Amino acid sequence: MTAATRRKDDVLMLEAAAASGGRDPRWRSGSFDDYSMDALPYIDHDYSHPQVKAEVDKLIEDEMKRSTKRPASFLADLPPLPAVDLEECPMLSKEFERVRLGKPPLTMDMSRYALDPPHLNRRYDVNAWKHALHNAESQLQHQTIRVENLELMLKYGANAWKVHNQHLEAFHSRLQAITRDYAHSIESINRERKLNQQAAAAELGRLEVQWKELSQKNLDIESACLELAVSVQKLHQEALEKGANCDSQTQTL
Amino acid sequence: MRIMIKGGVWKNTEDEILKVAVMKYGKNQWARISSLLVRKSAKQCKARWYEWLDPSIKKTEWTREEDEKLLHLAKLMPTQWRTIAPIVGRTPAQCLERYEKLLDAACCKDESYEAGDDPRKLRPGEIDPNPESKPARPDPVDMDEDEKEMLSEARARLANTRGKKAKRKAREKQLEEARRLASLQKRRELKAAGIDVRKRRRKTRGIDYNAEIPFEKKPPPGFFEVSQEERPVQEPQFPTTIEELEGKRRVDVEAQLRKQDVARNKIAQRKDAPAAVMQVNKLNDPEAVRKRSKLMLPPPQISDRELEEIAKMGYASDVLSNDEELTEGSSITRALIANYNQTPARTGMTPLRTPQRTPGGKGDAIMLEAENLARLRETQTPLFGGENPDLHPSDFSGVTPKKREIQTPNPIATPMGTPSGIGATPRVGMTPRDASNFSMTPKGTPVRDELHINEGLESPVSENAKAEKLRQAEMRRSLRNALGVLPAPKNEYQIFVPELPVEEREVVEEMEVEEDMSDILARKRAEEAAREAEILRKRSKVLQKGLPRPPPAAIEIIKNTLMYGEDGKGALVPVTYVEQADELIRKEMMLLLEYDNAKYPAEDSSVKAKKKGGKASSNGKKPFIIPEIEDIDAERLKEAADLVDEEVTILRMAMGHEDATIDDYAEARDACVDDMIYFPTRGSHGLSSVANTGDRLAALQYQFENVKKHMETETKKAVKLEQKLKILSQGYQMRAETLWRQIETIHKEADTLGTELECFRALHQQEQLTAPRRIESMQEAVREQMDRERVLQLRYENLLVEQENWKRLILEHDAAAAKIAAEKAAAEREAEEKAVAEREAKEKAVAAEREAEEKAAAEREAKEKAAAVAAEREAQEKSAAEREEKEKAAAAEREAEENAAAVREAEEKAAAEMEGKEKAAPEKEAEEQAAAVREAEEKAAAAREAEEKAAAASESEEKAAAEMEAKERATTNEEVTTMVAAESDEKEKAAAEEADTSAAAEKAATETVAQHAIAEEAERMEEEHADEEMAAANKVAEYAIAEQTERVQADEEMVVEHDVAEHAIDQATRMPVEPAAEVVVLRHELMATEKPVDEKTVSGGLAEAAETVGDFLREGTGQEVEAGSGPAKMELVEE
Repeated sequence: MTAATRRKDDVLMLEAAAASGGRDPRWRSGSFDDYSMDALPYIDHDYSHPQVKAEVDKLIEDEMKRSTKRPASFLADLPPLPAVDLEECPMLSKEFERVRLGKPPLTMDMSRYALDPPHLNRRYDVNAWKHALHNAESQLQHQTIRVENLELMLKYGANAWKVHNQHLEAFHSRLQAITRDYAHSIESINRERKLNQQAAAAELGRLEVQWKELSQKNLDIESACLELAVSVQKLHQEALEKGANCDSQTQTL
Repeated sequence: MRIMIKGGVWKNTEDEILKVAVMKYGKNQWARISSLLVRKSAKQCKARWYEWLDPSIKKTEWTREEDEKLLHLAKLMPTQWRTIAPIVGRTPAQCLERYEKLLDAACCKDESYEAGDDPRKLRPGEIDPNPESKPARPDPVDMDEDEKEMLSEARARLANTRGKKAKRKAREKQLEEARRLASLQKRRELKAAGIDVRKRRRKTRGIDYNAEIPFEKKPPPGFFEVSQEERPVQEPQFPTTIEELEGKRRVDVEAQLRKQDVARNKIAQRKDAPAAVMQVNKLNDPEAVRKRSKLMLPPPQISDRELEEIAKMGYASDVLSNDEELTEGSSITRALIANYNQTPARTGMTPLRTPQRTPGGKGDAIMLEAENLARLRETQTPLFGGENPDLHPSDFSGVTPKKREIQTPNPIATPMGTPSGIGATPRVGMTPRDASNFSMTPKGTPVRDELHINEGLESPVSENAKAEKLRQAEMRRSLRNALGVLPAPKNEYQIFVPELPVEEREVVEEMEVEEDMSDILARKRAEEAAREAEILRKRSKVLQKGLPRPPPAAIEIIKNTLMYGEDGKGALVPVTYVEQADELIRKEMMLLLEYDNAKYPAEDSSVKAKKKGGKASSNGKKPFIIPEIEDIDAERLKEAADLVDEEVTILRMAMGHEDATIDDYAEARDACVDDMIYFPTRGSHGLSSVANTGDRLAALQYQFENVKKHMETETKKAVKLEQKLKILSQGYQMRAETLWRQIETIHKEADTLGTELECFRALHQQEQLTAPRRIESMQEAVREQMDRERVLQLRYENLLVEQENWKRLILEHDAAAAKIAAEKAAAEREAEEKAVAEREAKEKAVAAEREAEEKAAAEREAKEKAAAVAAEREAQEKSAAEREEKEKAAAAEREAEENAAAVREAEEKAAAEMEGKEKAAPEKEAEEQAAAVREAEEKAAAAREAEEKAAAASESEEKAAAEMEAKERATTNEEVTTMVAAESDEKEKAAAEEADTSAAAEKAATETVAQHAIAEEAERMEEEHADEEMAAANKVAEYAIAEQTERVQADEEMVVEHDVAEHAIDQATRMPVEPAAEVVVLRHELMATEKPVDEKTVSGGLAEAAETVGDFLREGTGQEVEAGSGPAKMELVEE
């Protein structure tokens, strides 16, 4: 529909969506039952015409400018997100506090990963030594576990990887199949659309031709009528001038 | 005529020709082949081929087998050489020859045979009866002429592969060549002899086309030098062949080069002749050529060593036996030389000799056979009786004699104790394993005493039972030893149970058995489990609960620490009971620990122990000694356990932690363990809580270092492992990564595709609604337009009707107005015309008077009067008729009143005119004319009516045009009529005024006649015109309905015009006849008045009249033609 043919009471889609705000918008449900969207893209080739295209694009732009549906408010009709107070979480609140004060982020304490004897001035502190020993032992334990893990990996890793890869491959192939299915169904739907539209196009073309012919004919008839009326008028005048007996004529008419 | 008998020895050339001919013609066309050979017949050729030249014929020496076969077969099938030959593999002739040779050889042995008179030997002068089977005679160096000829012809024929003509040509060529050479030779000889032979030129008859140039035009000699004119004409060279067009092909070039190469090689070869000769010689050298196959001999059956032994033995025995006489004297000493031959019993030894290669008698077998055959041949038929010839034995078991394997006998392998002494038939190739040789000797195994040491013992062996026994024992022992050396028997059996056919009953049984088995197994298992449990129960608690145990090394330490009492120091003797009990318990514990460790070594160490155990056993180390412990029965154990439990409860009660949980105990234990620490200074473990700070620090430091060390090793290990792992799993990781990337992309794709699918689905839904909606709206629009059209059409129709009405009204009005105007105008015009007519009439009358006076003759007056009277009468009659017609026309006019206004107008005009005429003209001719005119008008009206009827649907424009035309026509008609009327008026007037004058009367008469004629003519013409007009109008109407094109109309008009013109011309040509008829009529009338009429005058007058009539007619027709050629047709009067 071009701008010229658009009537005042026509409602564009975006406006309609805005108007129907409170309800669940129809575009989300996917039904277009009472929509006056008139488009048959397989047979409407107006858009391919550059002039028409420019015009349409301009219209769309205008509409977008006028539209109340900004990207921000586009999902406004969705239910609100559950409220989460991030301030309440102790860790986050601490972090927020830190950020608010503009302090640098805390560095991680890496001392427990070092395998050092106690500091020099505490060399003779039994507790310090105990602590160091404990730390070292835990590290050793960690190392042992690590080695164990590595050994396990050595033993089962290759197979695990293989299995993992197999899973991935299976996943990949499944995805591929899904993609193929999608492509296939898109193809079929589009084909059906095209066929339907072409059938409609034939019908429409026939009707259009008929309409055009009729319109032309009517125009011709109208003009002929006008001419005739003029000539009749002239004759009337002539008759009057000649003083013929117009009464009978008028009576017959 | 010389009789030539074909045959004779075959020559080399003949052989060669025959071979080639056979190659060419095959083995069936012997006549053709023999035609190549002058001296041989077809049969001979065939024989030669099959006897000698066939390459499948063996010409080698006869082998033994072949000889045997031959003789054998000859005996079986005497003289059937053709049957024998293929079996032997030779030709029949060869067989026969060989056979005879063999028999001769056999006969040679006989004394009675003389080699000299061999009947088969050719004597000088004799001819070989079958030269076909003999080798060819070599060619002589200088062959006979006829032979040469034969050779060349054969060459030509055999080389010819094209057919008879080529053959003939070749022969002719050869003959020609020969003739030429002969003549040359002759001439040369004659020349040498001094006789000059001039070569005669052969007269040629006819034209020599080689010499003559056809159509040659020789330039005249001398005067005209033409040499300058001759210029080589540069003819354009067009490539005519593909080769020219494309240049030389590569294949051709290569072929040429190859040819050149071959030629060059030939030249080189020729130049290098000695080398070539050498090469040829080398090739021809049979030694170089023949390749001998490797000599394949069977492996020797006697090894070299054995041969040596044989030689030695033979030598020894020979020496002994030969020198018997020599050694006879010392027969005692001779006995010292042992003859260690293996058959001690035998004195007369079989001489050991290397057996013949061919077994004995075998070599002679053929000869024997041959002898047999010779004898058989010599015998007469058995019908005469007498004795059979004595023959050597031979076998007839088969067609061919038996084949016998020839084997070299091995004298060593063969036991020499063969009792049979037939040296001629040695036991061939058999190692006799039968024990009969031994068993046959009653004494058992003979004792070797060549030296006769046991001479005396030999007979009384049986008496000396003891010795015998001993010997037997000895034998037994030795046998046993020998048997002991034999490999130990393997008691391994492989039993193949044949698969029995399974029967149902058996299956049932098996089922039962199976059930039983399972029960048994279960029971066994249960028993086993019970036993295990029993054993386990008997073990120490540590083992039962699977608690950690101290390693063996630790046990030693524990022993050291705990059993200080037994350290050998003998330090402390337990004093108190408690101490004693403690001591006992310790001992028991140690015992148990050791026992457990020994009997059930710890899991991890067990593997090592096993390994070491293997080594240990081999090293002869002392294995673990399992200390013996008291076997305590279960009841006592249980008692002990109860006691312990009791003690525990008591203790718990006493210590006051009966309500402590197991966790508390664990905690306490952990604390204890933590408290335990190793003191490096002391080199032992101890409680840290009681140690001093220094020790504790040291211990901790030690532990820390320990941990650090461990840590380092562990880290190294981990790093190494990591690297290894990385190597192992890197490929997988990369694969996983790539897969993951692919998955990501494809997932994205699937996502977008899914979205698209949803979109398209929605669109599809929407479009399914849209399309019908659009179509509906379109249909609505179309319907609207149709309605509108209907309305508009109605409106148009109404307007059309209105316009029509208005037009009619205006036309009617106009017609009325025009009528009035026309009446006025007619009246005026008439007045004028009358004036003019009067004037003219006067003038004419004057002229006519003058003429009439000049011409008038007295005698003619009466006649003329009479004529005038007659004419008058006639005219009156006519006028009466015409009046009637007028009335009729008036009626028709009335009918036609409905027609167009123009018609009416014209009618009115005509009426006015008529009135005027009636008034003006005393004479009735004028009336007549007017009536004619009126009639014409009526006709026109009628025609118009018809036209209108025909073209009812035609346009108003046409009507208007027709009207206009009609108007014009009417006007022209009017003009014509008026003119005519005026003329006639004038004449009539003149006639009336000078009625007495005969000339005037005559003229008038002629005029009336002419008028009448004209009227008639006009009528006829108009009739035809009207018909044509009708047709034309019809056609026009048709066309108007079909196409309404003006062009067709114009065509029609053209046609009509043409017709009109034609008609007019026709009329003009026909015209003179009728006036002549009139004249004849007139003359008759004149004659009827019985007045003498001068023929001449009459004729002259008639001629005059005719002239005038012709003139008039010419005028009239011209007018008519004018009228006809007008744009519109004229509707004319119809009778």
